[in-house]
Amino acid sequence: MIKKLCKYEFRSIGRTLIPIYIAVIAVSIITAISIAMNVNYANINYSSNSVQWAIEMNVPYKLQQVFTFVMSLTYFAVMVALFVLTFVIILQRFYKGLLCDEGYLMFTLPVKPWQLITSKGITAFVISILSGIVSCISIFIMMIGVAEDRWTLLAQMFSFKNWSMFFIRLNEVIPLWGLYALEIIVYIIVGSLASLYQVYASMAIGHLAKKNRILMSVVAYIVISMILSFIGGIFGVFSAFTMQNLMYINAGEAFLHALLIFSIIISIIECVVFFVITERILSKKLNLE
Amino acid sequence: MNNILVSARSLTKTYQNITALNNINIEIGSGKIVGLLGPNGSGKTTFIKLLCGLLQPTSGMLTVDGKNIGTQTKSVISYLPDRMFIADWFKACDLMEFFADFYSDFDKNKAVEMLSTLGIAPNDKIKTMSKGTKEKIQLAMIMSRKAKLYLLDEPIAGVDPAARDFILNTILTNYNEEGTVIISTHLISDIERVLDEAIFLQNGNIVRYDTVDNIREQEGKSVDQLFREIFAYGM
Repeated sequence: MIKKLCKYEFRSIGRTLIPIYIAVIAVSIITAISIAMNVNYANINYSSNSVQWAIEMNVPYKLQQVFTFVMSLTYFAVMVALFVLTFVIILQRFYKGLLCDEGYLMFTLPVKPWQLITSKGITAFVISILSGIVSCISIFIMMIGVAEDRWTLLAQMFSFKNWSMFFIRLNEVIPLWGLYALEIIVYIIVGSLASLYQVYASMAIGHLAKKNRILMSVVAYIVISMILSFIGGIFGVFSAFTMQNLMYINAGEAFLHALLIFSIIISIIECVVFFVITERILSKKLNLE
Repeated sequence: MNNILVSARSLTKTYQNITALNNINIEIGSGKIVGLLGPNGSGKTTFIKLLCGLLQPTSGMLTVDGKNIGTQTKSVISYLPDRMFIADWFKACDLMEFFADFYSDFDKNKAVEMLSTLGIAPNDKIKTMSKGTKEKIQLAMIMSRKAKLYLLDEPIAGVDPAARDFILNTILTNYNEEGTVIISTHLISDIERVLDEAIFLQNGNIVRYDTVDNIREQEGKSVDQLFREIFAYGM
């Protein structure tokens, strides 16, 4: 059932996100090419002593500069749009898809509320990752465009020899880098899920209000964040002593691992609490307008 | 047939301090078309929402087909809310796929047939349809299921008389004969001819539940007239 729910969720999101992904990649390619050409013109101008050259090149060069400027602005705009849209879609798919008129369809399907919430969480998580990957690709394209010796750079980036050198060095400096990498990846995953479900739980709590539900959701979000930082502060004070001891006994290593694992556990607890709050409210207190 | 399909025992629903349904007891059998009649705010929509699981009762028991409200009852209930409940980016064919995916009792051929009578092509987008067409396509989806219980909340409010006839005919010709149809409305004269039974709701109480034949025999008047008498203002 979750698979089927996700299928329709992705179809709905894909309509908006795929065009913006294509736009981001297209704009970065055009901007990168135009910057690359600019650099070339500049080189010609500097290296050539011929006045004739400069006069001939001047007009197209200026046009080129304007074009590059406009494209850079456009690039900035589509990147902002990518992040804003991803965020808005995540909010909207939960709010409009479950708590407004579409809720009449979703909550009368023969599925349990936890399946609905899980499918929303999975799709939101996947699109966040996709948007992240797309922005990385676009930054990569821009980098290639800006760099003057781009072919050497590319060759270096994809050379097996360099990478193996890198890992050999890494093994020497941080023998346990694999464990760190694993911990950090797990932390990023559970941490982003926790913030995702904090948003969902806030919207569910806002739904309990008779009116001004959106405003109440925002208030709920702020209150939860305050509670979290308050608890975090208390924990911080108490754990500071133990951590200090750890620092004395063993160097940074154990301390860092303890910190990462501790953060992972906290995020998992947050995930579970927010999920349960959302599920309980939508099962027991649902009241669509 | 004396199969009890819907059973409510001291069913109460209150919102904060408003009582929408007050201690309701009712048993509704299978194979009937039942009118849920009452003025605005009498608890019709609340009763329907409790049946389809969009609301949880404050107290009391409610079962459909002998089961508490949950995924099992949702899979045998076909519900038409009083509003648009499908995302407007859907195409007609997406909608059919959606229903077929989630409801095993959905008859796709029947849906295609109904849509072609309505002049809707599978690739038409919901967004471009008129309000009346949207309502009809929703009804077509709901009635293409072979459900045990159809819950239709105000299906004929806000459409013209010709569409009203179309809707009533669609309901009559397509519902599963072993199932029950509950239609909530305050436009009684239009649907009186199709009803087997009528439930009169007032301020969250059932003031009368009887077959339409009995009402006509005992009262010597139509359901519509009786409704006007029961719910007359200032009398």
